Amino acid sequence: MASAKDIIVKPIKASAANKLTKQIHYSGKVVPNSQLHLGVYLNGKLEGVMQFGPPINKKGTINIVSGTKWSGMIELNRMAFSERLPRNSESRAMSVAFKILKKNYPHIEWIVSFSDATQCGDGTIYRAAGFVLTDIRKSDALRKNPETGEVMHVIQAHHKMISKEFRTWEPTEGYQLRYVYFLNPKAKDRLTVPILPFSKIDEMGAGMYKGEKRDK
Amino acid sequence: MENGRSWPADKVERRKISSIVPYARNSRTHSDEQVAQIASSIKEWGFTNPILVDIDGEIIAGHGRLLAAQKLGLDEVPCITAVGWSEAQKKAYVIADNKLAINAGWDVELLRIELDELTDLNFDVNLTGFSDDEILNLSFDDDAEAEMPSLADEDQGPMQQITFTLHKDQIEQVESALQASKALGPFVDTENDNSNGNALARICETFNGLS
Repeated sequence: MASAKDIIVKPIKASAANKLTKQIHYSGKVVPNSQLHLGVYLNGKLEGVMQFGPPINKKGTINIVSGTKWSGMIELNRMAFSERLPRNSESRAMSVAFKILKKNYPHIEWIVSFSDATQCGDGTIYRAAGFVLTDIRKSDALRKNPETGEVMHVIQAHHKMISKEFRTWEPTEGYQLRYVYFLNPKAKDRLTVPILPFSKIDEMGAGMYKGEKRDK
Repeated sequence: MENGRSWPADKVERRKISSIVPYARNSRTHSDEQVAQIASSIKEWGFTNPILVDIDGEIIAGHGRLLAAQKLGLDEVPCITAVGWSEAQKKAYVIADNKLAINAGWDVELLRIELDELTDLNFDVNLTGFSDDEILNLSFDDDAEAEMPSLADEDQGPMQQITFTLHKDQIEQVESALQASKALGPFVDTENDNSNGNALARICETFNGLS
């Protein structure tokens, strides 16, 4: 029986990462500006991926840790794991990935990631991996196209030049949660926003697990 | 569930292939390749799904299976009989039997895992009806390894870009304002080599001063 310790994390080609993400990520979509793709292997087979890149709204995000250089942070913007991976693979894979990042990109001080509690989950994996929770937002940045059912971010809509139409769509129900992981622990002192207790998720009714709303 | 009602599938009987007649207006097609796939599956697992015929032996469902049985040189095939069906019911079921199956989907991830495991067990996965290309397309690229990319350690620098979206009617006005701004004279000590940027900043300085 394989355990999470048997997984191997290593860089992979964007094409392979995108194929896997499209196939098994709940959104079925990739983030086009991902720069680093780390594959998760079990018994020599590619079974998961973590994709990193600049956040879609970098100017707005970078300020949550003051004094961050332009290249001093990165977003974990897609994470997709096959059902074949053993339990706890996600936190194990993230732990290995963060060591890889620290070693290869010492200038990156922190990682941001958003969990989508409108469609997927409230970030159980991030909490297990040592992220801090910095925001729970009922955002209208994600809206659903009433004709296709496609969920789109406001900035994606801007890039597609359909902002006007986007504003007529209904925002998705639920919350978005922002998590931060400090590769450089000292950067935590420069956090400009409060760290929220995880209990806040239930207090606000923002809980979601595997696409199902979680009761308080 | 209608417990008391008898169903065609309640009774399976073997019939001579020579006594079975294909429906002349069967709209479902079977390529030679697909018939060969059905024949292979019958060789591996035997007949698992009887042919549905009416009381005269005309096929309602199972044309492909009959062709495969003929290809294998079988003399008899298992059949079930639809008794008391109207012509319309028979006609509709010829279509429904195929279309209802097509309407199902796949859990692609579980499919990939199952096919992978069959490969590991040295089972001929093509017997499932999936071609090598389809299987390759489902599987992840195990030979996907890459080098660590270079993520530059650099600050954003003083130069930044801002993008605006303009209506086509506004473009001419903006361009003419930029030209007018440039015509006021050279830009000095702006630390910016971009003339449009300088011209826009000059317009904004004026506007901000007036507001």
